[in-house]
Amino acid sequence: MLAAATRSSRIFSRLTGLPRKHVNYLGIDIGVDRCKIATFSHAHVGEDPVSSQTPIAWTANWEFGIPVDPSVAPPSNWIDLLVNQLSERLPRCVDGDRNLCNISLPLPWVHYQISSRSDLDLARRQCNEMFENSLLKSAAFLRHWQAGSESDSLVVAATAEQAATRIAQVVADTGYEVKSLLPHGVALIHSANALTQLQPSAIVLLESTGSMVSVVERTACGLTRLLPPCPVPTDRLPSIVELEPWLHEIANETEASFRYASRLRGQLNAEAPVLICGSLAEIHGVDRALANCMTRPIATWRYVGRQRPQTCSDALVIDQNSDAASAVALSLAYAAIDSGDAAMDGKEKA
Amino acid sequence: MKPAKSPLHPFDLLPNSFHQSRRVSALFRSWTTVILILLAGIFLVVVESVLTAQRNAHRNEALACEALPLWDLRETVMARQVANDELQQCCVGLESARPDDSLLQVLAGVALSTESAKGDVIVDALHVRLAVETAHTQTTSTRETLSIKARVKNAAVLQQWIELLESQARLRDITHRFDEESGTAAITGRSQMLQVEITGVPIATRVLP
Repeated sequence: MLAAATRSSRIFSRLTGLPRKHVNYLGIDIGVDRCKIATFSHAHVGEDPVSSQTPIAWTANWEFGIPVDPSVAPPSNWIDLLVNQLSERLPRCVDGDRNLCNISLPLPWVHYQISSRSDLDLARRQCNEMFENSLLKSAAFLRHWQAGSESDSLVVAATAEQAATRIAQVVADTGYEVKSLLPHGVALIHSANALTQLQPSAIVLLESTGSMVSVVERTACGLTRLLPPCPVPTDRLPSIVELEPWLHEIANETEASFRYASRLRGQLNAEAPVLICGSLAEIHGVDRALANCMTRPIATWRYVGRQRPQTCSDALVIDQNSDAASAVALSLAYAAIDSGDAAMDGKEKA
Repeated sequence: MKPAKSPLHPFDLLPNSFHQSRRVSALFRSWTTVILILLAGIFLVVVESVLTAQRNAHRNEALACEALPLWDLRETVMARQVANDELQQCCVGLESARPDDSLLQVLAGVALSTESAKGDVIVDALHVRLAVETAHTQTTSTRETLSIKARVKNAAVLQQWIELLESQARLRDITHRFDEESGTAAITGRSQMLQVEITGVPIATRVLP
């Protein structure tokens, strides 16, 4: 659709002489207490006007807090609160620009489970029951994909249908074109190679409000599981010493996931690194601690493109470690770009 | 047009109904816009036509107001014309009913010519014949004729008389013929007066009705 739109707009602009619509690709990573937004768009090259011929680059980064305290039980009006915050604080769209975006929901809103094809109805009933009785009070919406190529085990991802629709609706009402609402693992694995130049075997998302692991199945998302939450309070970034026991647990769970995945698929590439991302992955020493516990190489998620947004505070020192916190938003934004649509800044470098 | 599915579509946690409702609402908006524009156009056309009709009605009314005296005038003229025609008819009737004096004129002409030669000319008989109009034919085919039987003293008097007769407007082509028989009788009889018969053509101003 996008390619067709681009072609038609190109013809239109050639016929009318009017400049084409500027297209932005956004990832909106809605977390429990923060919302992170990353933007990819066609970069300015010298004097040339912005066009779809120029490579796509990371042009903007934005985040705002959501007044929810993750350490206590979530408020009963969580959806209303989130919808209000989004409608008030999402960046406004420039008139005339197209803003294609992908969204991800807070980790606790998405439920993952392993099921077989025959038990799919049972899983649907369970998820329905779970979401009806939860805070979200809605029917469940299920997606499933294969956990391993050599088994009929399926990963079932479920979310509350009404909550998802309301969030997408408020984002769309702000002026964005919502392409899809993706599970974190799917977006991360889809964009990992293009954004980090790595071929990971799994991606671990470490946030103070929740963690998860996704194992790469061929090039797509395979087995996905939630990991035990971080026990350290989230009002500040914890030190590596405080995290040590929890990281040990994470490493064990990840290894278990690998074992499970290899049972479903057979051979797993032990050489491929495990990418870690999320705000906790930024903490110095986390990668080292995890690598000590696991038998696999660990890499922190880093954006390899040349262009990155200029920030006022640390414009001179590029802190690549901070990329890991925005990894989900960046991956979502990249997933909004249709393959073959335009040259990617990062790929050019490679 | 159904958009192509992206490779990430199988993982999309948004229900299809959301995308469909966005598409439907976009379609609805665009069609609503089109329909509103059309409605506005139709409304303008209707208003325009109503205004034009009103304007025309006003103009026609004004025209009618101005035309009313003209119409009256026309009717008056027609009435006058009819009256005139009737009067004309009356005139014609009157004209045709007037007695004709052509016969008298002819007689007067003869009388005038004869008066100067009183005593020298004795008219015995006078015969005048004029064209008469009948109901069926416009004119009679008979020729107007004039014949006078008279006795004259001598040829000189006769000649003078004939000249006088010729000079009369109502008479022409005067010829004379001596009546030999009566002439001889006259010579033998009472006096030496010449018996003469004069013929001519009387002129009528018009055919007698």
